Amino acid sequence: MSKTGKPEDALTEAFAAARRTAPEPDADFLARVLADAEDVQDGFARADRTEPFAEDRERLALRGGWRGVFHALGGWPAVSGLSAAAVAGLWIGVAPPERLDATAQQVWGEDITLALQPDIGTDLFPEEEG
Amino acid sequence: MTMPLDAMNDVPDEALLVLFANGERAAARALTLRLSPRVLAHAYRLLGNRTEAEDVAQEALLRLWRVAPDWRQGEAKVTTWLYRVVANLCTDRLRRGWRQRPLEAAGDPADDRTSAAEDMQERARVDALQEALQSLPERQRQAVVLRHIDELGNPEIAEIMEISVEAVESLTARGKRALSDVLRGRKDELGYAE
Repeated sequence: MSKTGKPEDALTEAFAAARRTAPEPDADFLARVLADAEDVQDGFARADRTEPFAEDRERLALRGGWRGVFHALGGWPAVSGLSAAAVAGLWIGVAPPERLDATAQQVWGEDITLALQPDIGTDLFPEEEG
Repeated sequence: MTMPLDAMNDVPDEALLVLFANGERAAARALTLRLSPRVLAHAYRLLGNRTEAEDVAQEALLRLWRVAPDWRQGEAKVTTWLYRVVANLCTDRLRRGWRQRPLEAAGDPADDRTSAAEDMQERARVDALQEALQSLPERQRQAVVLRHIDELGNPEIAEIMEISVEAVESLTARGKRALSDVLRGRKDELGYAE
């Protein structure tokens, strides 16, 4: 049934072919997904503005220092997930799979390489809030 | 400052999701690019229809965006959660009475190493596999796709499907047997040597 005549090899070949021909997201689809994502993010921002402590958070962030960054990021619950990346100094360069490069540029009309560096060092919060 | 394009590959989905919840547009783009292909492909394998798969994939990702601020770090991988949501959405569609239309092309073959004749044969085999997958019971299909197309390990599949590893093994074994039977019946048409 396959090059070796074994049915299981034919199936293995078929699975491999299915992986090679996986449907790729096109530009329209990526644009729809990203529009959803940004709409939801805008909703977070609106919710933050009505949150009683949002103003304090912004003030602390403006004051600067680690504690300010900590509060700006949303305190321990938010930062805990960041630690692994942040300790190394969080860099983000958007790296789509090679085959998505062209599609991504179509959607966003720009080179999507970027760097985001919150500039957080290894000693995140030397003294915790009191 | 910039980093090589592949630098973000080291940033876990979960860390990106925290940034997303904090309003970072860059994280939205990164997650969209990283997760969309996998989610769309998985939905397509479960449904066999690109239009329906796109709807399911978009809805699954929308649910991820919404849950981001409440994401509990360390409890589940983002992809595990997404596979589960995709499967549930596909099941909902099937139970609501949506019936599979004739197979829609998943897309062009991803590489250019083959001749036109080989392309056609590969496409025929992939379509045959997809049709055979659609003939399996839902849970068998999900297990086989996760194991043999998405190439996940049995423990992760067990977590996604919320069953034991032994149950995963049983589902994939039965699914593979059924698929082999179907393909054996079409061996001449698909160009498999006896």
